[in-house]
Amino acid sequence: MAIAKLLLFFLWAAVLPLLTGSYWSVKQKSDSGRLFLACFYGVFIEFALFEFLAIPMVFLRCSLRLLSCIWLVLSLVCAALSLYKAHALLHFSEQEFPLPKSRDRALHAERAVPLPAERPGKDCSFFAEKLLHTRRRFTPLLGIVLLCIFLQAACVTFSQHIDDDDAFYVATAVTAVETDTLMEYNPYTGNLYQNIPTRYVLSSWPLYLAALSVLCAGLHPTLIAHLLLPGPIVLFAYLIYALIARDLFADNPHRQDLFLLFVVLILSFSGFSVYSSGVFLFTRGWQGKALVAAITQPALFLLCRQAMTDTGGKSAWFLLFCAVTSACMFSSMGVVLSILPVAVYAVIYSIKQKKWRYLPCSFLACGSAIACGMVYLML
Amino acid sequence: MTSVFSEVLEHFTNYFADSLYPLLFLLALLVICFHPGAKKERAVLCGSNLLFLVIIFCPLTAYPVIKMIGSLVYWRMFWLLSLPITLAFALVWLVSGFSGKAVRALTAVLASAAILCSGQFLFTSETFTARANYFKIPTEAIYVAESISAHAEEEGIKNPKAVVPIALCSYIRQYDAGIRLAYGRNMVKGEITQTKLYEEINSEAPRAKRLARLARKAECTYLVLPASLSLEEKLAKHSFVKIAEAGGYAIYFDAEYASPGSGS
Repeated sequence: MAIAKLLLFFLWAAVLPLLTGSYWSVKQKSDSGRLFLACFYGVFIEFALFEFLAIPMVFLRCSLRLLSCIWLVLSLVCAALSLYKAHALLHFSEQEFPLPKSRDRALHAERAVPLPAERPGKDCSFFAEKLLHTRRRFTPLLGIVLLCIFLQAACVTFSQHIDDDDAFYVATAVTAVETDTLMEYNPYTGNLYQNIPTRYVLSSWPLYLAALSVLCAGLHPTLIAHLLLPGPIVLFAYLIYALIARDLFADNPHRQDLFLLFVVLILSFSGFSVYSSGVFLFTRGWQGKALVAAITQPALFLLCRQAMTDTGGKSAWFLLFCAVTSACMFSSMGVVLSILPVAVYAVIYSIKQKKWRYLPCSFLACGSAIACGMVYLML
Repeated sequence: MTSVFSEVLEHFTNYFADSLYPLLFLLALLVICFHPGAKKERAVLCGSNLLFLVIIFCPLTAYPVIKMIGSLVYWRMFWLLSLPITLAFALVWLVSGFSGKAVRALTAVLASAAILCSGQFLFTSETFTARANYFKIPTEAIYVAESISAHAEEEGIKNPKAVVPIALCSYIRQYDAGIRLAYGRNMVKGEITQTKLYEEINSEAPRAKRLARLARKAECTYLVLPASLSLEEKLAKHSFVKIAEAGGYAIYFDAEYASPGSGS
């Protein structure tokens, strides 16, 4: 039973985002490392979807089970659609059809779709091959970096760091599972809230932990938060840094490895105070605010770069929007700490490239955070 | 304005403590500014970080942010600085600026040493301890929660309410949210007014009579006290009977409690 629960966790927390992000990764110009990109995009799309469902359902006092079911169904639909479109898109490029600008529309349906049905076995391996394809060679330096990263992930998984803030964050998830409600009970005491917890109500991260618990056949939310999530979150943070390295040093794998080595060292030696983003990543990675510090900030750097250098195409703006929404999902601080960096990067890229359209586009990408900010001020 | 600036400065001091990361960060910005290889990223990395610094330190921008998010958590604004990216990027260019494999390797080692000396290693036995259980919460909290829920199930009590010492109140509900508590960490943190019950149970020598009266008044069916206090007999006089001892804590049950379905 425990293995079945773990498999379900792996399915919902890793495979589902990977499938959801596959289409967006295939849309990128580079044909290398699509698996990592798919994971990166998929996670933020899944989180944004959850936030969009959770907020109204909290106010409508819906049950946790309903939220979990709706999120799962929509996620599965998104994953299936993404997979379908990614597959179709890959066939276009494989058959050397010049990709039309309106590539996701009519031509897909006409030419690419029938192919999977014609040779299903070959298509599956073809798709997996395309997704797993990487031009990166394994080097000793990369080996050292990977070893350090996996040791860190193992350390946060197998050792413990007790943080008293979990009395709220983790207990909110456990309370939601116990009562099958969404933030209706005070996690400190278990009494009904007298007033809406305005500071926390728009950040649905604890409810995501609770939903995972429901979807993993009752896997305890504390186990998910303290045991299963910290390691993957550390790996995910480094995945973002690896993508940044690839972006900054596109043609030089050696520099990418060196960049990652320095990042590993910088984060490992950030124990100078309890406030640093490194400390938050390693000691309380399951808390939303840690995700704002350690995941959102580098992710926004990368997504702003992709959106504002046009390397990510128009879809990069959508993915930026998802990342900003995820920041709001993680913590109320995510509102300020997503709007500010996007605004700053928008100003800089607009001036640098003299493309003023980045400013309104950034404003739209921050739409969810701006809306959340206004609701916070009103509540 | 001066007070806002000094407040931000205090947050800065607390955030970076005695590390040399701020110095390394400034040096990294200088490297990016002047290294010809880093030209392409100069505007973004230097520009954004300088703008972040202005936003964080300038009282005109800091004041509204402090008003919005609160002064206590303003240090989180330092998360905006893309320190790992900027520093690592500058160091890569610094290393790449030298010709010859050996010199580059030596520079890389020196750069690594600079990071090691500037910061503080995080993975120490102070920060991470051996896992006590899979839940990674104090084991005594698990024992106490299990004892309470097992007894409550026997007695047919739904959502039992307990009052526990400070040391346990943050963890019981992380394990079993079916147990309600008289107070939580919000009271420990002073977010809400501390009650007489809170003061009594956490005092050095809790008085049994007063404790029983206050616990009953707060509708607590269970009372948890350190086993070392030996209040068993005194509490029994006030109808709080000891039902279990777990993880160094004694768990008392209010014998006068009448469950809603008991008809008494």
